[in-house]
Amino acid sequence: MAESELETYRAAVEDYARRGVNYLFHNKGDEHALIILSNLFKNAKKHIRIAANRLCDDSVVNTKEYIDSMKTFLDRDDTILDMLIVNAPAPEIVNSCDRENCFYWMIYNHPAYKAGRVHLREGEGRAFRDSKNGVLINFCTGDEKMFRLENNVYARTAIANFNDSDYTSDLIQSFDNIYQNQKAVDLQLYFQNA
Amino acid sequence: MLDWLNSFTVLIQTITAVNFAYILSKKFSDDVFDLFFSSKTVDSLYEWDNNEISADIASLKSIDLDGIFRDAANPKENRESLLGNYTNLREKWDNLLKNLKDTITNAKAVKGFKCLFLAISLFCLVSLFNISILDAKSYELSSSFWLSFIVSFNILTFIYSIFLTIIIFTDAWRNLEKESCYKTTILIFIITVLLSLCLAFANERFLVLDFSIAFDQNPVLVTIIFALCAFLPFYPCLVSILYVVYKLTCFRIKANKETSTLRAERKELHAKKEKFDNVNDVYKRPEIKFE
Repeated sequence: MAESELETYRAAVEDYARRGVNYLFHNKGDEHALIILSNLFKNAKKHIRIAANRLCDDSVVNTKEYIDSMKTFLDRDDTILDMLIVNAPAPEIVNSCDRENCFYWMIYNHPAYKAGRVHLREGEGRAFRDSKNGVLINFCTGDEKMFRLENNVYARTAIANFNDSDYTSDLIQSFDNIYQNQKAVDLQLYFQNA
Repeated sequence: MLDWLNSFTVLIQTITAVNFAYILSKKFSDDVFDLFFSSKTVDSLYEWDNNEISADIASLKSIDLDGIFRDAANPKENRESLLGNYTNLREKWDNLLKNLKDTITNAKAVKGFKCLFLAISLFCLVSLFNISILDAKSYELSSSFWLSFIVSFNILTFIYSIFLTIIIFTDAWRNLEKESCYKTTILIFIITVLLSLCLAFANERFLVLDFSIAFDQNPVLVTIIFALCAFLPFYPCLVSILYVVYKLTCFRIKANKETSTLRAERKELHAKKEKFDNVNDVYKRPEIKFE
């Protein structure tokens, strides 16, 4: 996407997220994903839920923008972050990334993690999928009204809305129904020698 | 002691008047303009539409045509057509904003404000000089002569300031160099002073009006003459404000009319996009299961 087009898109997303406009965004690619997610994190006030593959890819998750915007959310009092990944990544994969741009490192060191406000669980191979075609689905919800749902995790095509309570509630319900039954992942596993 | 204090007061007032006029002439008209007429004003007209156009374009480009569109006829052609329309709309907005910004630049480029401030500041200088002359008891010329001079000078300067106001509102000095404007201003001012002196001499010679008696008999005349004198220093500020209000009103009428047309076009395009989305079922939110 041309630089100026991306910047006008970023301005539009920031404006819609800040004002909570009910508009269904279609988006595609890493750049769009990063813009939508960072604005979702920055504008969430209470609870974020993330269902993802491993949360350690370098193109979106392990970037300064993603990490800083999540940090903004966690810095707020009494916020909760629940993360569900398909499989816990191997320690060498997590430790191979630069610490300054490592999402898990930021989480591990954040006071919110020590305070028990951040939870990480794995599905041990199980994941959310489209009921009709079995395609892997990743999604993220912010509070009770914001969501981004990836219906093609490879091309990163997704839909997002900063003010759709109905569908966000459906996603939250699907998430909460299974979350507590999944295996907890302790980040100490990766950083015990840090 | 009191005479010395009076002279010192007049000196301070003179310096204040000159500084006041100098600072105002440098900053006032530009600051008033920027308050109402900045480029940010123009950009803010476009902000809302720009956001929606950006979001619609990005959404259209991001839709997975192969994955979602199953039964729709020619979804790719329809999408390209819609994207083309959005691009045209954006170009129209860009042209409109450029025209509006050019309108602002043209309005700010009007010559005459600084000349008006210069004329009035020179008027203040001469007026203070007049007051100190009148106040000095040892001066030989009669006070009647200086009263005649003040009256002529005030009226002629008022007429001159009206002339400069007309210059501003008609933009008659657009093609003149700045230095030429200043030279013209100073030249006309010198003529004003000389003419006032001539009128004062003529009045003194032919006793047309004895102002010292006239002032006793007609206090209204005194009030009007000195009201002109007191009002004139504020005249340029008032003219600046009136000019900006006038230009702003014209600008708003033009901007509202043209932006309304483009906004209507944007809404129509957005409705077409929503119809496209609905026909092609792009709002599908998948039902999910965990397995």
